[in-house]
Amino acid sequence: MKSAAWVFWIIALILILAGVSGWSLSVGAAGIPVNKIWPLFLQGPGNTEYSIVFDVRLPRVILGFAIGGALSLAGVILQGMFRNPLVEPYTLGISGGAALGVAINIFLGLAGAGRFTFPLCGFLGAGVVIGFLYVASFTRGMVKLQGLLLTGVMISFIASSLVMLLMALSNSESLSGIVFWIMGSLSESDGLLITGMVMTALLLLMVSYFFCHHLNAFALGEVEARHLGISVERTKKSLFFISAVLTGFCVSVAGMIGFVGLVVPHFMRKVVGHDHRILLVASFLAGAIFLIVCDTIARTVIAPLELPVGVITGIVGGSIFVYALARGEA
Amino acid sequence: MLEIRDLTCGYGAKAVIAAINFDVRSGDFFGVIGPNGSGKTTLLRALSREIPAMKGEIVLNGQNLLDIPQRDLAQIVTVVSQIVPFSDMTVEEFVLLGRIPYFQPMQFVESRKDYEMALESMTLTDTLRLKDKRITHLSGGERQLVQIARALAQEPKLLLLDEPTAHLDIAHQAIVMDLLKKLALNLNLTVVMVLHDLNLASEYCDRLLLIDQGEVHSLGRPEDVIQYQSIEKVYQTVVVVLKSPVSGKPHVMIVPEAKRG
Repeated sequence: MKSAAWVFWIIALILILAGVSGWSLSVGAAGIPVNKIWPLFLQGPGNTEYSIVFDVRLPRVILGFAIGGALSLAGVILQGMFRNPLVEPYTLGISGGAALGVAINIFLGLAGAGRFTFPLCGFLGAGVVIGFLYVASFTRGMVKLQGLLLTGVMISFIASSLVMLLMALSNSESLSGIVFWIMGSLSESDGLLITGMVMTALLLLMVSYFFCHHLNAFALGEVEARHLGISVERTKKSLFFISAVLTGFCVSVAGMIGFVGLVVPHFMRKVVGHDHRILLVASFLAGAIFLIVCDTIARTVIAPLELPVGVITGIVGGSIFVYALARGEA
Repeated sequence: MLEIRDLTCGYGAKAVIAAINFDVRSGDFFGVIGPNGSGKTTLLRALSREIPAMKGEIVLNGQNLLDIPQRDLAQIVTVVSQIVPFSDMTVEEFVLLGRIPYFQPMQFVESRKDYEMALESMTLTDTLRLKDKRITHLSGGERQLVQIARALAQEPKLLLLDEPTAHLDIAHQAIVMDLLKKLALNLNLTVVMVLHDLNLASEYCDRLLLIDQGEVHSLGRPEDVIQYQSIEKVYQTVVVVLKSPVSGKPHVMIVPEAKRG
């Protein structure tokens, strides 16, 4: 009975995802009706409309799917592990590290060295923070979650201060580069990076699913989870790494897209319940839907100019959140 | 069932329990009593392997507690605590969490047996009527019964409880203790509990362990342990011990300072 409801939610979310993707492919500076997309695909490459849909818009939809899903999944995992609904992927300072890496790259003008330098520097920055957090909070085989959280928040502050320092020292060209990167964008068009991001997101979704019972038991606290036969320390380490890698990849590829990892898990908990067996998958799909919608708004609302998607996720997500709070539903 | 040998344990380098020795027999309804800070809860946490032994050992069914894999241990020993879950789950979902130690590696959905065990646990504890209620909407007494239901769903042999009657009125104290007694008898459970209420401990437990500053003061039947000399010495207060007219068990009465002398 419960699993029937779960199947219903998954099918419903997949249908919404398909609908939203179709809409995103069709709207833009050049409006292409949804029913023309399939014939275009059959015709194959060659005309302008084909390349608008399949070379420009489709990569963004796919990247939105992977990044939105990954951020939201990381949020669900972290909120469940910390038993705290205000934790999000960026709380741990991993994104701060990535931002600092990219800011250093822009400041030193390394971008000329090749197309992969941004994600590479971002990932290096994220990796340094992950390593530091690991060493700082994982002592003698034990993980102190509160310590991990506080260290992460402090790293976030330090990193953002350093980024601001770099911005203050930058010339105006580098400055706008850093600002745009920090606000986040899905305009990455490199096929290899997009494929890598999709693979990572889906693979870690599968891996995290093996921890669904662990996350459910964590709702009772670490002590109770142990009494239910769960190896708590191993679980915390695994979940930390899953969410850290998800966040690191997302920030490296798309910059800081805030709010997805905070709002979407929160809402899915209200909609499908707190059981992680459905919550993990539902949050992934809902995160994907949310980000694709926000990105489509970002690139159409003042077309042909494009707004940073992080601005839209903040405005849309924040408004929904406040509205729900005011109605007493959040 | 349980043999505690020379057990020393505590937090950090500080030993709260010092070189304690006692046995809990299979089917025992065993109470641990003692003043605040005497180490009752610490002892219980050592028994559930929450804190490690600094010296000595705990032997469960002939096996050192430390050698039993976490999952196997969870199928034998269950702890009933007063934890309120982070998420607002229903009573049934909460009770089903007790089935986690029985899930197979690739099993994501509860089996028929899991549902049957949850149903049975809720029936035994008279919480079936609360099945679809939210945990956070329950009264203190109901919540305690639901905690016991979840513990039963875990099919334990040994049930550990830390003050199962804390914050309950006398009617609910009786309900909880009667229930535990009945379960122990019908399901052949061994029950070890920390109790603050000496009269409840005396009335219900087969055997009592009186702890004084981390050491065993006395161990035995309530009649032997609850004597005014021992209680006055361990608790550092003046009491009178009388027999219950119904059960003949010793009951402890406090003597206020103004009436002493």
